[in-house]
Amino acid sequence: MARRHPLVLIGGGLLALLLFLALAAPLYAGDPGNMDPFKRLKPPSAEMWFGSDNLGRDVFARTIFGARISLVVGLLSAACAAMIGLLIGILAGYNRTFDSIVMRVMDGLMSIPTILLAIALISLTGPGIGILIIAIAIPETPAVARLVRSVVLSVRERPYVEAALCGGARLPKVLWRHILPSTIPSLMVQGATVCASAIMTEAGLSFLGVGVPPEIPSWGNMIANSRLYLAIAPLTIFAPGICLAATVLAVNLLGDGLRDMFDPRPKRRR
Amino acid sequence: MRLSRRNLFKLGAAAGTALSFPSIVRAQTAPTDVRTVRLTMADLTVFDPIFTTTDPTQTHGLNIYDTLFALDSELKPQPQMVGNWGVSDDKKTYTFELRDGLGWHDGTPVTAADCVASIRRWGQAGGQLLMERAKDISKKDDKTFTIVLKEPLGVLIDMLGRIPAPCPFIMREKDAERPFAEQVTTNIGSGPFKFNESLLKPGSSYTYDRNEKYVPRSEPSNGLAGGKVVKVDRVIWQNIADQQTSLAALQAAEVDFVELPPADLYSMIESDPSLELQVLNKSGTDMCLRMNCLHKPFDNVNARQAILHLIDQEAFLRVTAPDPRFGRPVTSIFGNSTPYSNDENTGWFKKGGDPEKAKQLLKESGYTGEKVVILDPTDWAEAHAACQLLADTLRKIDINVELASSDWGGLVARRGNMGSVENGGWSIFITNDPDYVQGEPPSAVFLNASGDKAWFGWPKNDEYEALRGKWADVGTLDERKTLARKMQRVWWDFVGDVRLGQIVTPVARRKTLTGLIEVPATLIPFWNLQKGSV
Amino acid sequence: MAAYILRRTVSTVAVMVMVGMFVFLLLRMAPGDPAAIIAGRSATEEMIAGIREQLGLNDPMLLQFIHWVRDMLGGDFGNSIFAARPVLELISQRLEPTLSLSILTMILSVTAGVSFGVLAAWRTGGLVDRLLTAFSALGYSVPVFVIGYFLIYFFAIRTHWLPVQGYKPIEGGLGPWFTHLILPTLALGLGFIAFIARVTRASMLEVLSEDYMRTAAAKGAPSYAMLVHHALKNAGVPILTVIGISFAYMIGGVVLTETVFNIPGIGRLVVDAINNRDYPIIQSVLILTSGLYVLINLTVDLAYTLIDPRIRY
Repeated sequence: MARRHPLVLIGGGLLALLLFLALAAPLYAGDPGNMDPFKRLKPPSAEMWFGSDNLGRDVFARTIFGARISLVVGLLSAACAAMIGLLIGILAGYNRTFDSIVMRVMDGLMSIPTILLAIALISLTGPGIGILIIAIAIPETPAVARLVRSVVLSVRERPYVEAALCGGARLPKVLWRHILPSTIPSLMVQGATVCASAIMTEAGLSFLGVGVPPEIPSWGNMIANSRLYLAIAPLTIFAPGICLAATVLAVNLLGDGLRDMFDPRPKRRR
Repeated sequence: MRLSRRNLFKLGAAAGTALSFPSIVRAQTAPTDVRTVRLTMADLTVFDPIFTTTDPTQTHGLNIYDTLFALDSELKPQPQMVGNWGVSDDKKTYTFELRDGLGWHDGTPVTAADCVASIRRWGQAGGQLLMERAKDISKKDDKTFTIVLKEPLGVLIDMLGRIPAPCPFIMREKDAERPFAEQVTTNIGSGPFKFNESLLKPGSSYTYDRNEKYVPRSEPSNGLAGGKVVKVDRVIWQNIADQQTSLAALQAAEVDFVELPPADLYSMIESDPSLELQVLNKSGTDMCLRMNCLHKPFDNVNARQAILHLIDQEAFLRVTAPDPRFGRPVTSIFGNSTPYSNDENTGWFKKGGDPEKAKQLLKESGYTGEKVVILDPTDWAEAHAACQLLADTLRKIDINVELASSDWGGLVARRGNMGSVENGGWSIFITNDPDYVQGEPPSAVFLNASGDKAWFGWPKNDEYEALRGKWADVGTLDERKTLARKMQRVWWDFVGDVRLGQIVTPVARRKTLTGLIEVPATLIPFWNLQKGSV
Repeated sequence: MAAYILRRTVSTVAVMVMVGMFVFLLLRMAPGDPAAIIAGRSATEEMIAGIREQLGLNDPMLLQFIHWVRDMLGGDFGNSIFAARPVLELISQRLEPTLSLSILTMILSVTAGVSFGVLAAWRTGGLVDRLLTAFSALGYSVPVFVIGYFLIYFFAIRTHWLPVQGYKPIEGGLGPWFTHLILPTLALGLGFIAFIARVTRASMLEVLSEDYMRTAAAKGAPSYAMLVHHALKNAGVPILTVIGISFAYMIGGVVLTETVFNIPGIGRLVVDAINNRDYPIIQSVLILTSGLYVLINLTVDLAYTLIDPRIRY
């Protein structure tokens, strides 16, 4: 299986590695919160492998602990947005009434800035990581829904769908068997973007006090915090940045691999 | 080969770039305009300097309006718009006569009626002391007006030339005849610069043209006083939100001046031979930790004393003013740069703080783990860093800390809540105020301990307030200094608030820009600026 | 079809109304006090209270809402609390920079993205494909300001080829307008090129393995014709969708790019307004952008029918 689906292995494996490193953080990473103002913005040393940030905290420890928040928020928001968007997109692509009402709601939702929506949502319900994930997923959903809907619109006219319906297959089965697989490739691509965007959005929200408190490290808020130090202490940005890139790469590879795995058509030969 | 749409786009882009090459080359060889100065400063959002206290608005006001008196480099008030003036023998009646040549930007002359209306409006916003003591402010004729007091007010002239916001800028009568909370938006002043409304781009750039009709005083420029001679034709105030980009623009000579370069990038500026750091405001600002004195735990003086002993100002300065040349501890409630700065009752100051003593004092206050909420403004970098360090410092002596992070907007909304933490209140917030202002106890917000009427934090101490009440009546400098020592002794006993250090922020300028005037506040006068060629 | 367009246009108004009400409520629910912000850091309670009264913020919410709706129906979108100027005036000043940046970035992203994606799909597993996967990981995760700072450093400070920042309106000459937009377009476009390329690739892969592609090849169609006429057209629907989504997103708020390159656009206007709790600006801009989004999506939906005649509404 590994030889036939290398992408799934690489992508999935990378993701699993990141998750494992994040979970095991307390065992090896050091203290992400300990401040020493007299040792701020120092280059890498024996005690602090990636150097220190502007409050003298250990960048290596913060990057590893940051993985816990960012991976959870990024992957779960992307999954949420993907699932809800998928559902809405398929229904909208298939049912005219649903399309005209719900997609207009989606249009309206797209214009409301994530920040505003998140603040309002969280002031209603109170903070918490579940609410945070939902608050980040909601503004990403309209774009997913639109993409899925567009795929459904083009696929539903295809001959094999018509054939299946003529053959007596019921709608849900047709949706599941024929329509859904066509949406997967675009969905996975968008999932990767949503994942990256969710991680940065979480940072923005934590600055407003509606996300994870800014003292708790996350890749997003490390990157945002260290903007000024690009020239003088680049690791403060690059450490979390490279981790973020690795996560996105993993999701991309995994997505490509999954698509290849479930694609019933023979591989094109050249 | 048929031209596909894709190729067409690519060709178009290439053609566009090619066509613009001549202008790129031209841009680099065009001479820099020496009669236009470009400054990068914080955004000017509001235009009315009586309506708001923000520094950019005061700078705007400083350049398009004029004041009756102005402070020279020794901070003594000198007549500016006023020509002759006198005070009666009983020291209760002041008569002011305007000098010649004063005119509004719309062509009409400045009259005494304008001054009277402006003083009244300013009185509602910042000159309450004057309004309390004044019996009558009225004009005698077109160029003369009087202020009649109920009792003598020694600092009247200082007040009319004061720097701390809001400054008593003189506006046209028709603009000033409105409540202070209603914004003036016409920007017609009598100052050395005219505001160019047609080039206004809110949020982005603000243009000031030389007022050719302005008649400067004959004395040489001295601080904010003396003749305001304008040596350029135009000053463009640009708002570049990204600090790194503003420095890049400075390096590339797209701007000549950056008001607030980030401290961590000073080394970058100093290593560039065409740039220079210059300290214009030698007094800087004092950072202050305000505690909520109405509720636990800081309603107990021992708890406040604990904080006073705990704070290691050097550590806080490291994160708020990383360059040690520009940050100093401040132990006097009157700042470091005012005439009243003293060392009375400052034995609590210890290098590195004194966590052990703090713990003990905390225990004595009966602290049983109540939640302490720190309001943390994430969009103000220095305060945000200080709050995080504070949270860490408090946790190390086992205080139960919650950091309530929000943007500044969220902070000011919560700051006004006088309730307890359970009812949406707060325990600590960090702020700053110009160091120079700490020399004016009647108006400095940090120096007011009248309980509910005081500034946020609401410290209360009657003994201190009795002393402060005498300030305006005390005649000589030495008497005030003695009074100051007494006030400080009481203050550090009851600990109205805690100071975190004095920070001086140099500006960054191209070496070709000269003539910047030193002012002990964040005000940038545009007159006297001169620009050499590259 | 005409009926469909009419229905969609009518629903535009409905969407704008709903968004307006929603945002009005949202803003009042979010913590923050415009009066305190505008008064400045060291303002006293009395000053803040005076301003709050003046701005009408003490009125009950329903009353504020009614005043606002009444003004809007008369075409008065209100004044910015901070600038004390009409909101529409502020928005119209910011429109040209945002549109310029968005359109140029769209041209770059679509051109480069579609090309890249088509090539990657055509030679799956080849160099271009691998490069694209790596590039997209970077494109999504490198923050715009990092790219921006690097571009500025190399192209404006080390060499003096391009300006550091700022925006020059078209009326001042096409040359300066374009040179000031080159770096921001590159910085902004990176992420979108990656996104459009990946979606193109995914969609093309679906289509390239279809039977009619083999038929076309057997008939001896040149690669070029196969790719563009047969494959791209059939794969076009999702690609058009992401182009629409990207354009909408760009107009709505590319705040980071506008901040880094100091472009006075709508994105920064909204974010500054949110920080300042300048309600009239936020409300008006969001209503207008919601209407715009509906129109963009309508255009994209109509475009589907052009490239795929099987789609009907």
